Order: sequence, then structure tokens, then C-alpha cells
Amino acid sequence: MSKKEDAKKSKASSSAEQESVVSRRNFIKGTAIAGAGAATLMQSETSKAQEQDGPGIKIPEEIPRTLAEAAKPANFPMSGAEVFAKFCSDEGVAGFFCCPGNYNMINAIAAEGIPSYGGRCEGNMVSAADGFIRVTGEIAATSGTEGPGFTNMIMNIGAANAARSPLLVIASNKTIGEDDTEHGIQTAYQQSQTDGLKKWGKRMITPNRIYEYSAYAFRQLKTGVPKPVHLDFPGEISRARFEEPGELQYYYDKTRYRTESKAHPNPADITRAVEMIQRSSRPMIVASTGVFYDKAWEPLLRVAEKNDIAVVESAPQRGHFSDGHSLSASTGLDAIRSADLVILVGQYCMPSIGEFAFGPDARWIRIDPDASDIGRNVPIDLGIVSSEKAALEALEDALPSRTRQGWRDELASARKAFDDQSEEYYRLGLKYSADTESIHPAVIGRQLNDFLYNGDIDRQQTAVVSGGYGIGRYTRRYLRAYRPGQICNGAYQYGAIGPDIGYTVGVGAAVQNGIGPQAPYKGSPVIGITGDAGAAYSIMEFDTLGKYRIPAVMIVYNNNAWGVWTSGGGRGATRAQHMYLFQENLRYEKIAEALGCNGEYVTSPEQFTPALERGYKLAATEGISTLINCQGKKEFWTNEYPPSMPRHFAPGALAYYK
Amino acid sequence: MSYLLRFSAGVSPLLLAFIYQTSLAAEMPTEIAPQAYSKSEAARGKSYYLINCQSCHDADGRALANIDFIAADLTSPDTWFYGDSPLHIFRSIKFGAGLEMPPFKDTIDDQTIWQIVAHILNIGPKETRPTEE
Repeated sequence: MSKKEDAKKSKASSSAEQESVVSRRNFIKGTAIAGAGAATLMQSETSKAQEQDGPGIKIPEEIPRTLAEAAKPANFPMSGAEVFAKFCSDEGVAGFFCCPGNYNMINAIAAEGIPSYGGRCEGNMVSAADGFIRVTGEIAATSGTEGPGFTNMIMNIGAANAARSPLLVIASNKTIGEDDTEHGIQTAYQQSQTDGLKKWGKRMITPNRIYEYSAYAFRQLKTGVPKPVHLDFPGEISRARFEEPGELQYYYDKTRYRTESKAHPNPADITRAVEMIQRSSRPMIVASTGVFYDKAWEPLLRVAEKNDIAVVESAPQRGHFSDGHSLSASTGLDAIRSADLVILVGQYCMPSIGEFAFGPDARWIRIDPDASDIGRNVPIDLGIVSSEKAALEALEDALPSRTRQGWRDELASARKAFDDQSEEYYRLGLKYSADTESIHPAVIGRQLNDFLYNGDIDRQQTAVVSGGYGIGRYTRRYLRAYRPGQICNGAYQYGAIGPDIGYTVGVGAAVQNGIGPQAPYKGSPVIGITGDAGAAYSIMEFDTLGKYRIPAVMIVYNNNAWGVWTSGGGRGATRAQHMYLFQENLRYEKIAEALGCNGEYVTSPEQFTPALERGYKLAATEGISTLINCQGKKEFWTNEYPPSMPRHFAPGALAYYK
Repeated sequence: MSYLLRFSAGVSPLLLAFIYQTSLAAEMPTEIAPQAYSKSEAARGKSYYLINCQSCHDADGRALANIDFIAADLTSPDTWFYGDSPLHIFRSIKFGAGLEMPPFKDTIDDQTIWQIVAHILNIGPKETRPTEE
């Protein structure tokens, strides 16, 4: 080929590429793609970054086109990857989040029609899957490549493990045949790296056992107390070929390789529990993780109402008992201290005595599917081994109807005291904001509460990722959950700084697809909350939000420092403070703009609600996400601005902080 | 109060404590309550300690697991910044101390604070532990 022909071909190719790129205006005019992974992709003209000179930010045509392709479920003959992908599909895996790598596997999973998302860092995609699980109750999977991709996933797997999320971690892992050679680089022994961070794991080494081990994995994911399950796939497994079912070991239908049967309570235990509840004046149920995953919120409501038992939530998700119910103690700290009988239901991550806000004289009943955990950390007066739903149904049948008006009055009083305190914090926040020409976190929390629950939006509509470190201590006071899966409690029991934007991708995807309890609110915007320290770990996922048009508003509280900065500023610290601080007044919203999303910068209370309104509207109408950069002061965490960083915020929101 | 903050960044904790003490003197007891020396009150104080103090100072008082900041090791009074007498301990609980420790004057009554003081003394050096019944 001559240079001239070459140039001509190159030009034509370039032109074709130009045409194949979806222009912003064309896209918004004519394309609304409902794909396997993204409900609707739309373009916008709002990004300031796109108004600059130079090529505009665009969604390439391959993205909506391939999302719109029909699923192509595998059938024999199949590769190992296809066998596994089909298995996942048959088991109802509801979402898949990955970065490229493990190519055969991720392609096979996408082909099955499982809603699939590709992001910018494997760890964030783990958190996306985790967030998706926390608000749907369904299994999601996540994948990374070989050693580097896999090791990026570790922190986020740890967070999922603490939250007891049924997360399926799959990662490619070189080949068995070249173990220890370092041939082709990226070799890593994976299973030992997730020790202590998973329920079960296996490096597959025998190709024809892939189906059998898939069954092992889903038995673990779907029974008892969930945690991450980690499978790693050497090339010999994922690329094996199977002509017909007979080549696979233990190739049975799911009705035969596992059971849906669950443990039911011993009637004698229920009788004793009823006696204890009847003797109690102020009984309180802690509705935790297991209530959500066992979908037991309806029997929970019936039990509570039948015998006037208060309910407080403590879980990686909130809303399985509405904060709007007159028996809710989730915003009634004083009532929690007053309870004389605590009934832990499905409290999978078990805090120690004192990590709850319960009084020292309370008696304890613990209902849990795992007998081996009952009695750990908190000495119990009665342990009941059962699925949460079965136990609550048994209690519903056995308990007499009873009215405890005094207890109801005390709950109401406690909620009012909490709300009054939040109002006081808000007033202080306004004063501090004015004094410092910034925005105090109590102001953010209170205005967010007004917008989500007291305005034009159905208060059950918006799912929220309640994350952040210091900011979370305030916003949790003001956030409410009125239906299952409405709040993803980001830092629950692991305190990881960084996953919040990943969680927001996953929660947004769950709402975008209308999975589980999110179905009535399909397509609604979601809200995420994080701090400046946390945002830095995962802010590139604004590209993922933009690419899939996941409608989100991310509130970033920017106080120019790690939340723990006071550790470097007092108690005799020398030459240390610099390690805890960032440059001041960083403009995180401009990063969102540079990634094709919208940015807002807020430096006063008056600016916050209008920015929130603009961001929410943009998300709802155009699918464009917004980052609201809220400029605060690190000194708000000190005793100069009481209550500084509250230690006793919304009870049950994060059990180890009460 | 910004004056306090500037000083609190490592210059003079004792001065900071003095300022706190001066401004809050009206609410401070002047004498040590007998509960501080009572073993039974210390046992009672442990329960309230676990509810109110554990999240920063840990169940055993050593604050080894605190992820938020460097809290005081309550078993080693010689490392404390704001005084180690029973009145000092009472003051720190009631009015807060340093940058991080919040005041508990609105959530814990004085009698309970003295019980917590007794517990803190009880996990400290043998010579300062409560000996009365």
C-alpha cells in the first residue's frame, strides 16, 4: 500500500470513527437505550469541561450499542467461563461489576444478560457490587484480573466481609501449568490473601469440577450468614471446553445441589422468649442484617405492632423498619438506653458490650442462624437458632396482643429529644458557618433532610449512600429510611475511607435496574455522601457514573484534612501535623466536570439546597451525575465548635459508634 | 475560642486546662466525692464507662484500638496531659479535654461521673485504686 493510499485509508477511518461517535446533541435527541446494564443512557450539554476548546467528552457509540445487544445465553458446547456464567445467571446473580481482565469470564457473564458494569478501579467495582447487594438483598459479582487487579480489590472485600455481604469475588489467575514460574508476570496466590475476609474460597484446578465448585460457592452465598465467596480461575479452567453435560462433575439442577430450607426455632425457645417479652416493660428488637437478607421486614412489623415492641436498626442497610413508625427507636437514643430487654435479630457483625447504647441492666435474646456465634461478645440470656423470618413468624404466632402506651410515649419523647438536639446542632451549624464563611456539616445534614423528606419528593424514593467519616457523624442524624434498602450504611463495622463513590455506583445501578426493594423507584436519582479524604480514593468513578448515565448526586464534605487530623495536632505531637493535612480549598467538583459530569461548589448554607436541587433535577431528567463540593473547616472537629465530631450520633446507624 | 484552638495545637496543654478550669469553675466540685474511693462504685462505674467511654478508650482503658485519634491510655496516668487526680479526671469527663474529648456534662450526672472516676482509678496503678467498700 502506498503512503497516499495509507493516508487516504487513515482519513476515511478517522471519518468513520467520527461518525461512529455519538454526538451529545444527536444522542439526547434520539437515543434512549435500555440495555442489560444501564437503563437509559442520555447525553447532556451541561458539563463545563465540555465547553472548553478541544474535543468534547463523548460516550462512544460502542457503549450504548453493545449495552442494547440482546443477551446470548450459553449452551453446550461451552467453555469453562460460559459454564460458570450460565451458573451465575441461573442462580439469579443480579449485577456484575468489574474492570477488564478475566476476559473470557466477564464477556461470558455480560453475554448471559446479567446487568454488567465496567469501572475504573477494581476496588471501587467491588464496592459497587457491595453497595448493590446492600440495597437489593441479591447476590452481585465482581471481577478483577490476575495479581494487580485482584490486589486492588482487597480493602473493599474486607469492607464487604465486615458487612456480611453475599459478594461473589471472581478473578482470573494465570495458569496452573506455569505456577511459580512468574511466566507472563502478574502471578499471585490469591486465596491466602483473602483469608479472614471471606466465608469460603477456592482456586479451581480441575476443569471438569467447575460446575461442582460453582455449587459450593452458591451454597455458601445463599445459606446461613453470608460473607464474600472468592473463586479464582486459572486459564486451564476458564478456557476448558465441554461438549456436553456429562463431561462436568455433579451436573445437577439447583434444586438438587442446594436447599431453600431454613432453620426454624425450637418451640421451647419461643415459649421462653415470649415469657421474657411479657415480663419486660421496655422490649426492643435490634433489626439487623439478617432481617434484610431474609426479607423478614413484614413479620418484623407484625411482631412489633402486635406486642408494642420497639425496633432499632443496626445494619449495613437501613429501612427494613421505617423510621416513620411510632415504634421506631432508630432515632431515639434515650429509649435505647432505657430498654430492659434487647432482642437481637440477625445481628451478623456482633458488637461488644458498650458498642451498643443499651443500658448495663438490659437482658438479651439473640436470634441468629449460626449457633456458633450466639454468645460471642454479648453474654445472652436466651439464644435462638433460626432464620430470622421463621423466628419472627413464630413470635408473631405466640405473642399475645399487648399495648404498652408508656413505652410508646417514651419512644416518642426520645425521638423528640433526638430531633431537638439535631435542631440545636443545626442552629449551631448556621452560626459556625457564618463565623467561618464555610458550611458546617449539621447544615448539610439538615438541608438534605428537608430536601429528601419534607419537599416535593416522595420520602421513600431516594436511596442514599450514607458514607463519610466526620461528615457521616452529622448526616446520619438527619438521614431517614422509610422502606427497605433506602440507606446503604457505608462504613458499617469496617470504617473504610474510600468506598463511598463505589457504593454509589452500585446503589445507583440497583435503582437504575429496579432490583428488589428498589423496583418502585426504578430510575430515580440516588444520593451519596463522603468526605474529601474518601472521595480521593474513588472519584474517577464519576467516569463510570457518566458512562452509564447512573443518576447520582454525590455530596463531598471538604475540610482540607483527614478526619483524624487532630491526632497530629495535639498531645505533644511534633513535626507531625503536615501528614494529616491536604492543600486547602481543593476543587473536587472540577474533577467531576472533567469526567463528563456536573460540578457544584458550595461555601455557605445559602448555596447548598439550590445546588442540591440543580443536581437532583439534572440527574432525574438527563441522567447526569453531580458532585457537590462543600467547603468546610477542619476545626469543626474540635471542641472549639461543640459538639465537634459527635461520638453518639444516630443510634444503630453504625453499631460500633452506638 | 479560636485562641484556645491555636494553643491546643501542642503549645501548652496545661495552660489550656487552666483556661478551661477557670471558665468552668462554677460547675466544678471542689472536693472529691467518696464514691471515687469505693470499690462497689467502681464496679458500677465500669458499666457506665463501657457505655460512654469505650468507643474512644477501649474496654480496658488502654485505647489501643481507637481509629479516630490518639486517646489517653487510662491505665497510665503518667502519660496524661490534663491531670491525674480524681478531680482532674472528673473535670475531663464533665467538661472535655484537649481537641477531641467532648464534655459529658449534659449527658452524665455528677454521681455517675464519680462512679466512672472510681472505675478509672481502679484500672490504674495499684496505689491509687479504690480501697473502700
